[in-house]
Amino acid sequence: MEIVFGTGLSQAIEEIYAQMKKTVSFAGETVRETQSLYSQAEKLGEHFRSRRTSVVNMVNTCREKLISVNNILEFGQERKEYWTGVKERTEKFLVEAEKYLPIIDKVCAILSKECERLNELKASSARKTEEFISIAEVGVKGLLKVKDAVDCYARIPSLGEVK
Amino acid sequence: MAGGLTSGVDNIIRIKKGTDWKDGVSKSYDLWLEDIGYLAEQAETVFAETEASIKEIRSLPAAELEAEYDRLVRLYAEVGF
Repeated sequence: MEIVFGTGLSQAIEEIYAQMKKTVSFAGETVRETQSLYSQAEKLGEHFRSRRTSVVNMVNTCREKLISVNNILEFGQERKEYWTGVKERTEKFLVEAEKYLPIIDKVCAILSKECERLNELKASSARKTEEFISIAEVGVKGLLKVKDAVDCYARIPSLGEVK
Repeated sequence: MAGGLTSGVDNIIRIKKGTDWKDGVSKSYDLWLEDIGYLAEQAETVFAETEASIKEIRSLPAAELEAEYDRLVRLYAEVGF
């Protein structure tokens, strides 16, 4: 009949328990952090999509107005200088906006892809961490039972010494 | 954020190694350690992928785009329709 456990087992189990508690809490924090990062990335994507919409609206307005300005310059006689200035500034805006749109399109596409990826990762990290925590809990419960037994034997030296 | 789970499990393995265990108990906890070690590695892989994704997002020229947007808004206002 062997009931003697090795030396320092009770203390080691306490240390393992403390370490596991720390690790499980870290896992929970990491999952929360992943979720928060995903929310931030999603907000950034929304922000840039709204910037893009705003620029597209300005471009559309400018294109429409440019048609009117060209008509005024072609058929009207008054304030030619003023309308020429408007035409030049409108065209300048359109040139600059057309440089900006492909860049923001690319950024929006990257953000959209990354958000999709982060969304999958968010679910996956929550699932894997939950699994980790549940397996960890089972082991820790078992360890605490072993510790109880060890402590119990330690309190009854005559039994602990039996071999 | 990656590295915390596996190093936690490594610490547990280290604590366990430094202690004498009764054989049956030791074997059962070795299996448990293998299981949580495997799960920790899997979770770490996911965390590492998350970090890579965040790095990609942080490398986007967000500040430059904002400055360019402000410039376009000024140009638009200057058109003077």
